[in-house]
Amino acid sequence: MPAPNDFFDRLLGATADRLLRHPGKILTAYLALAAASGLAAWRWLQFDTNQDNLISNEQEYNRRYLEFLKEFGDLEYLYVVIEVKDLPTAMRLADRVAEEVSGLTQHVDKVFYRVPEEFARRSGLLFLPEELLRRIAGFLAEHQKEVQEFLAVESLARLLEFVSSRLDARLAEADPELAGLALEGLEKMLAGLEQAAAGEPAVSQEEARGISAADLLSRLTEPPLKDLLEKGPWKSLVPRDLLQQAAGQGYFYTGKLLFVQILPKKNFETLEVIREPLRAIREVLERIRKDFPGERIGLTGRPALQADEMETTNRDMTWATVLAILGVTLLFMVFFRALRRPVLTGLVISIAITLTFGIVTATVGHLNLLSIVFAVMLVSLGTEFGIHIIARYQEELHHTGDLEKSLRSALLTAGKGNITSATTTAAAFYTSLLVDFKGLAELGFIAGTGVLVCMAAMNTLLPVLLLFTDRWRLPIGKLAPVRIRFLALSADRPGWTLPAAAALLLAGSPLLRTVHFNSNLLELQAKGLESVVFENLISEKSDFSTWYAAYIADSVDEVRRLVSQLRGPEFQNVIGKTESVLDYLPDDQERKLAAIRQIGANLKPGPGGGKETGGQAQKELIDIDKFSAALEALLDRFDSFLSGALRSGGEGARVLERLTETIDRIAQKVQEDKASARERLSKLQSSWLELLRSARAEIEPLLDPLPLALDRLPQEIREHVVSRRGKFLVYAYPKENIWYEQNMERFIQATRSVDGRVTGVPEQVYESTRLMKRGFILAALYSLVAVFLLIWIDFRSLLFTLLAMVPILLGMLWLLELMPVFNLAFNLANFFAIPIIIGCGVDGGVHIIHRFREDRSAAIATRSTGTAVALSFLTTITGFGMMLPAHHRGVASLGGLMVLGCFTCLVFSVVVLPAILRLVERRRYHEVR
Amino acid sequence: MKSVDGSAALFLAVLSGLSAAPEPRTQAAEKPMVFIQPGYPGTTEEARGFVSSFCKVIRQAGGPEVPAGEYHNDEKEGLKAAQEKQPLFGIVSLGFYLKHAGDLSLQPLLFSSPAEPFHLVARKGAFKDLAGLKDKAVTGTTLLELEFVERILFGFADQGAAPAGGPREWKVQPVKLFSRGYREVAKGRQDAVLMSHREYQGLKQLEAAKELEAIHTTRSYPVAVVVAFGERLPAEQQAKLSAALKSFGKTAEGKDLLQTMGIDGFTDADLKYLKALAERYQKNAPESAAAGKKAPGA
Repeated sequence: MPAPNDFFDRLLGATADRLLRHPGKILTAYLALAAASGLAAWRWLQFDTNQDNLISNEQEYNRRYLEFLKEFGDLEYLYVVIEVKDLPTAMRLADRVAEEVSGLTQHVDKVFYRVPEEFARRSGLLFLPEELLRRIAGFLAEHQKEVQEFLAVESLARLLEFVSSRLDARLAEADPELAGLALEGLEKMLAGLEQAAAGEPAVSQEEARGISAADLLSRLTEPPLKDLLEKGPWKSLVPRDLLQQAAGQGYFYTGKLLFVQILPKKNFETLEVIREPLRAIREVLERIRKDFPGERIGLTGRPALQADEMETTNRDMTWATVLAILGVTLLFMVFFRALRRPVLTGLVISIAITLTFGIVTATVGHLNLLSIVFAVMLVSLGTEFGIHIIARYQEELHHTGDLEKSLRSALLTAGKGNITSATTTAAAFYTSLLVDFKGLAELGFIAGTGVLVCMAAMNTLLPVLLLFTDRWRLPIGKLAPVRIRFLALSADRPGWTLPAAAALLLAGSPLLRTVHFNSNLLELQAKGLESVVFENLISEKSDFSTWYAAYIADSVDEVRRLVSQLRGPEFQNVIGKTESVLDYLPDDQERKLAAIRQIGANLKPGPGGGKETGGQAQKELIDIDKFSAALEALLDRFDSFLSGALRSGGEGARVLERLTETIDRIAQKVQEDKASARERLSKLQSSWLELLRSARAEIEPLLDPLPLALDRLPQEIREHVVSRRGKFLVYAYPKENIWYEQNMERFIQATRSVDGRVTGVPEQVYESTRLMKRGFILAALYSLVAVFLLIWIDFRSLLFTLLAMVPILLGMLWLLELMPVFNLAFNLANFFAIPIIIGCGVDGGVHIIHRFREDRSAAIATRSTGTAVALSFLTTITGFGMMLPAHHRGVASLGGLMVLGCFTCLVFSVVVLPAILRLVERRRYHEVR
Repeated sequence: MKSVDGSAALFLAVLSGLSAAPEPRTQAAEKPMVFIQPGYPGTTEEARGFVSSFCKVIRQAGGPEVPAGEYHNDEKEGLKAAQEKQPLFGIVSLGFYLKHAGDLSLQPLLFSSPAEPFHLVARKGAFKDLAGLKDKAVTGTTLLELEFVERILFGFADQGAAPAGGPREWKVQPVKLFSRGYREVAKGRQDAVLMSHREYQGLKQLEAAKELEAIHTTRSYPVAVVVAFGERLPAEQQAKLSAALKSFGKTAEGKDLLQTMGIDGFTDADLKYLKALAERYQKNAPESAAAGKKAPGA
């Protein structure tokens, strides 16, 4: 053992003296401090789980985002996503969800899922293109006679006559596809007639009342209406998204999905910010699913994703911590062949972590989403200091049998190594204070301080505890230290070891090109989570997204300019939907109102027509003879078509055959029993006329719209697009899935090119990610520099400093080469493993070099300290390895990276470095000899 | 769902004047052409577009300039039109030709091709042969030209004619629409239906065909004859007309028109053959005429 000749030697010597003389006071002091720290943390330590607070307010993009939040409030919604199979059913589902969730007033601030019905009803037509309105008005004027005829239909017989006469002219003139659609519609109508004639229920009056214009509108995006509108003469006037909007009737409908937006109440003072609201909403959905068994409905949105992520990581980290403690304890027992040592080490670690909590409470005052994991880190990082103390202590005790001398020796040797190791590790963490990422800086400060506290505790409290317990009963027989004998082999054969290591590194070098960073945060989440599944569904099945770029505008003109640019052709593949006050304030209202009034005038029944239907028709029985005659005329028409088709060899004859058969059957039924037919068909007539009446009643408000102005918008719409101070919000949704980096990049560039003041979650995530990546890389570089400097200060030798860096430098290189082999990529969850690996990796080199300089023997350094270093790495590997089975893929990748990084550093610490030291030993010390 | 086939819709569309060509009304000074085909579907009004297209294609093919025409599927109306409108030429059914060739001085120019038989169709297993139809109800559009049916289709001994047999033994119930006819038989409301070969081929694709079978097939005859009315159309124009009609199969529009008519094209009329038919027609005439048996509704 070298003589105490430097500051640390003197400090450690004095510390050892004090420990041995006043162990009770030391223990009492630690326990008192721990108690005070624990109490203070329990009382005052806060949890800040707001991701927005991870970034400094001074960052320009964050400042803009905070201003946006201040202006418009929290607009980060939860989304209930309904996959639409049948639109009316999906709408009913949405109504039910909205109704029940709105009742959760203690958990929910706002529910927004459709434009208010009254608003849609009164103003719906104003949102149609002016050209379309004029064409409709023109069409109705041109076909005034037919329209009036239709409006005058007051019986089934007249309806059949109307259809028959239209077939005469229209079907013959029509496009074959349209003709087919018309016939399909007719087939359905006749099927209804046949059922009614046979006494089977076709459409009851109740059903007729329930089949509203809304139901009909909702069918606009389904065949046959969809085909009719997309293929007919209207196709150039009816843009696809308009059909969808009309069908959606103000619901949040994107064609395949329907959404209900929910703003939950958020409590940022708890870890689970929206746990209770989420639980309550999910209970509601579970209940609703039972009533709608065939429907697919789920909850997602950034708050849900974050909450699910938090829950998953909490669960994973809890299990990982428990398993880590068990695993490390087992490892200890195997290495030290005693239970007492790991128990004492665990006790010291617990006290050290409690002290760290106290320091955090007094300084930072809170834990954030990154720093919250520091405790788990310290279990792994702090334990190794204890390992070195215990290993050296047992080795000395085995040789000398003197407890106090052994403790003193352990402190002066391993304790010194611990100081170097702890300061370098802490320095690696503290370098994150230099980067522009507040969350990471806090983690760096807390973790670095925690490492120092752990080291101090292991260097002071652990020896005290060893003193107490071993004084009581000294386990002499079991003190023989475990040796990993084969480690010495590498030290003895540098001619094999070093070329093999070089070859290994060289062989893996091509793989360096494949190392990459995966920015997709969704791919970090656990698979199969409802929020993740439905987030992906939204990307797959719509051009909507739960994130959006946001622009704040001062005037409607500015909104118009922004929207116009966002909808430019150069962005059509990147920017999807936009939303703004313009969506609720249509242009050219005066001209549209004129066209709508004209439509209304053309739809008014003429004199003698449109007499009160429904109520009156209910009382009247059908004129069965007139009905039969109309049916006969219809049959004649179809027989004429069918005969022509058969003569000319047309295949479409089958459809016509079905129609003629149906009409014939109806006619036969009527003839067989006119009285019964009269009664049954009268009911049907009443139902159909009621249907017509309700349709007319629903259409009437549309034809008398109120001009729209800002002050007439319903409150829920206003709040969505205008702030209290009168600023306007423009939303721009990405068309592509921006969970992928390249798509995000394109979206950000596009939105920024429209206006550089853009903000929103995509900007936040993009910049934060960029900042974090840059921060981690810079932190890693600074760590390496800091570590180098500190080791150099300790060793005062460039050679030994470089040698101490070998495990970390070459270990990191080999890690990068092995990552692609194990399908590992860097991501935002595992990137901060780099500073940890630097801290851990350098420890091995520092301790080996310390021991080598002490004994001037690579073999001794390897066999004794090498074993401790190996155990130290193995505890870290065990600790982080328990993250590998985590459900959260980010946590699992962190575990994977740590395990692989520690393994590579371990190999270079205890296999390669000793081989190099052997050469140095031969050259330096054997020459001297 | 199956859309109406293009050909059926085309028939309807063309029949109803979908053609871009204008639909000039026949003026007294202009001589039209006529279609006289009893039992065919559609109305004069609905067929305006078809006739207009027909005339246009004739013109385009180098045929005579015919501004317009008329279509009639009723014998009486067709005859009236032929007498009053002084058409230059026409396309008439074989039955109409045989009946009115003398009255109207019809000059046969072309036959429709191919010649096709007629079929007597009944429910499966109902009748073994024609004899079973004695006093049974027989329907079909062809029966609108009862003389043709009695004297030609069933006018030969090997075709079921007998001094007191054949159509004269049936309860004849002609219909104006073919589909009515087969449907009445399929439903059991009539016993048999007489139909053209095209109608028979068309019937095969229907569900009703599963319940029906042909119990007798006649010899083959041209379903239509292209005729000139007297001397109104000069020989040179007749030649041009014939050439134009024979070229219908070479253009898309012509083919469509032929398909609508239910024929493949036109060939030169076989005058000897026609003469033989006319002789047969006359030979078989007296008994039916003397018996005063008129087809109801004809």
